[in-house]
Amino acid sequence: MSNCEVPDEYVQERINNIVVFMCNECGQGSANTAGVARMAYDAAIRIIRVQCTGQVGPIQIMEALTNGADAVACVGCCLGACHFFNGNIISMHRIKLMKKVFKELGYSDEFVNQYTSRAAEGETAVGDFEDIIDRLTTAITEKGTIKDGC
Amino acid sequence: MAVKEEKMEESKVGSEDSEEPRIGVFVCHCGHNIAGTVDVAKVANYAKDLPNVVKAEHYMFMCSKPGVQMVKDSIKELGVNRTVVASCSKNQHGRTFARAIAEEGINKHRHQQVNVREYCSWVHQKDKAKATEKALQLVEAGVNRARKLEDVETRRVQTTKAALVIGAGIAGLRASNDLAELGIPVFLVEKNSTIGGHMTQLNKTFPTLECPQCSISPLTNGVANHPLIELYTNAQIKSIEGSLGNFEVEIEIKPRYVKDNCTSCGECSLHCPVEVPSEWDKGMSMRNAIYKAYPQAIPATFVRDKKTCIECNTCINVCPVQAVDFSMQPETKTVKVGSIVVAVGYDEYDPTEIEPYHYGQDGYEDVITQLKLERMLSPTSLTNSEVLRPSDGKLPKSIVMIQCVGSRNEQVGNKYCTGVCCKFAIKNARIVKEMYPDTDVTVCYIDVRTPGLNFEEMYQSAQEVGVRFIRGRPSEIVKDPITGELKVIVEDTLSMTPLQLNADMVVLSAAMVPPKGIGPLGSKLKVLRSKEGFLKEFHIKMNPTLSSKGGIFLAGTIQGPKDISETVAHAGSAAALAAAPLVKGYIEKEMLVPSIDYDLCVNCGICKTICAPAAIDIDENGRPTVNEIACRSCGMCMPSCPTNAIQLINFTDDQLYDEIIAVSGGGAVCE
Repeated sequence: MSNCEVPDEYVQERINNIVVFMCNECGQGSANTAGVARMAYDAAIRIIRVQCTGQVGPIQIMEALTNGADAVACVGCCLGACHFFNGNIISMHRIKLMKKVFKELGYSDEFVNQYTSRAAEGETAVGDFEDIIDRLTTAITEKGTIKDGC
Repeated sequence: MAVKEEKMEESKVGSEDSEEPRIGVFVCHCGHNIAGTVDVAKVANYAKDLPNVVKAEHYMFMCSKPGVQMVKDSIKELGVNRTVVASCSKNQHGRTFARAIAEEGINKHRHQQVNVREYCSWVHQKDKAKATEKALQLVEAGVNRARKLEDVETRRVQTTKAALVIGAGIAGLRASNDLAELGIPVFLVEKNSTIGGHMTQLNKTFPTLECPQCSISPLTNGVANHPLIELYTNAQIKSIEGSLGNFEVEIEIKPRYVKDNCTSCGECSLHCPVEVPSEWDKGMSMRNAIYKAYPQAIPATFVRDKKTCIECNTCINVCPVQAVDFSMQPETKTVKVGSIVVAVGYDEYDPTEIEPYHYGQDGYEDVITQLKLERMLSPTSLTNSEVLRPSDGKLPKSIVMIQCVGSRNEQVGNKYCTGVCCKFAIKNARIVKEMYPDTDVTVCYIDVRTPGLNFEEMYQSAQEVGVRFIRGRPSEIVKDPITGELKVIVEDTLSMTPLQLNADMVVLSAAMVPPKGIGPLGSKLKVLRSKEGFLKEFHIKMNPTLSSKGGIFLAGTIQGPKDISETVAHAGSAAALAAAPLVKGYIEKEMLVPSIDYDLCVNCGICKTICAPAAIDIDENGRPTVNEIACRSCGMCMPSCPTNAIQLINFTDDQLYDEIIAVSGGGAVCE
């Protein structure tokens, strides 16, 4: 697939639902700040409010992927600034393990990611969202997504 | 649609034993903010067909009185028992609607806020079709989530009626006094041997040129003699445990080596052979190894400095009441308090790191700070209130004051303006000029910042008595190698002329910086700090006295630079907020806590290892139990459980699943 030109419309069509678990503190705060500043990002982003990214486990991530999500991400507070002590670090370890599982099952590990953001800076949230879209776009144009079995 | 019908059947079956969910959906236009991008009528129509939805409407401003009334009416007329409002963020108006349904007798946790403004309409303004499609999914997710929302009880937690105040400067004294006047027992902890803080070191306070000792002494005396205030000097905080309402604090009290029967006669100090520079006097005078910091010091009991004492035992022998006792030991005291007020104040910035000003270097003794000048001018000074050069004791013919030393200076890492240096420099410049009309007093400033009542008048009166103001930050202080005179090199940026000012004495207006030792204290308190190092307030506008942790309040300059009037106001506010839960006697905590299904639990104890606030304990049967008061509702224990036995109420796997299927494309059917 990498040799032929992939039209942008095709990529756009393929990106529909990205489930983003955002923590109640910096995650939600940064998305709110981005909203207030009218920072545009892809409409495929769907935000689910959780208390802390440490609350999101493999069950939630697999549920989202099996129900048709193109990618899943967790957005928590900056490392060392978790409002619940260390939930973001625990989540980071979980996502790392999830990535390993995907790799061993023969899938790409690009569709599950952990990010951080700062409530005061909407750019951080938008940057995280853009990174998810970038990874998806590369996957669609080059290898194929998790829905294609890659 | 087949999927939806199935779901409806399921929920009907499930709801036989419990009450059936009746959901009201309200979509807000928010003027054009939402309606301009999202087709709100379509969203409301779509929500109408969702299972269990009995009412779906859209309205111009849901947060307005008629909008809130609409939510209330739906509860009264249609028996709605769960509400979904698709409008702004949960932080903004989630509480408005939660309160409204609570007024109608429905638990406030049965309200689900869907954010279609910040998360949808404002960020997808260019693609209206996609924004509407997203809003449909978000509302469906909200409805799915609302369907299974449970009541969350709000429980009362008894508070300990006592408060701890750390630091006995003007802020700590004010807060202690205010708390004690409300009938709350106060433990006041001070690091130094005397109370009063920086304010006692000053000569005059701006703008009225009042004597600070006269202003503060009623407060120091009042606090020291208040029946409800227990004062610990020479004391430090060892550890702090617990949370809002119930803290347990360990205080370490260092010995004074002088017993309380000291009559403050001063015989011991008179005979002490050791002399060291006085810390309280900023090194402008000497003190003995057994000393009282200043004549009006409270507590008046003398104190022995163990580090400098040569143990000649003279003081023991000369004391007429045998109060000196070298065998006193440090003691540790544990107190239980409900609130903590942190009022540890500030330190004057140490200008030694600004190399061009040569502060503290040999041959530059005449470069001093404003606090040292205050000490020189004060009535109890060694110089008899005269301004004399520290190097040779002569009257200076020219004094240059340099502003913004350590503040507004990114080279030393302090970007902020201290805000009070202009005021005290002008005050001191005017006092010196009035005392010695023949002495040239020059102030080198970047901007003169004198906002507020009476301060501009003070600035003008300083100009009238002949204080010279030059706009420019001095680049260097140099010493003439032949005459030994100091010269301040500065460019007058208003007339664009480079100047070399002769200075017999240079006074640096040093910034206010966080006090030394705030790092260890901050980590014991477990509160956040701002990047400048001060303790961070909860919200700069709406709650400038609460710290990042509930039950710990900030008073005075520990939150940021302030003058005395601001500090007193800030401390009063901190005391009032700290007193509220103690006077009431309880706090209300929402029981948003996990519950454990012991049929599934295998007693592995993983949840205990992951719980950061240590709210999960293993009981005598080996089963984990949740301490509901200590729990902070993070839900980290949930994914750690291998059998899904522990579930956070209203964030259970089941509830999250419903929300996830709606937004991941599987559940939503969009035409």
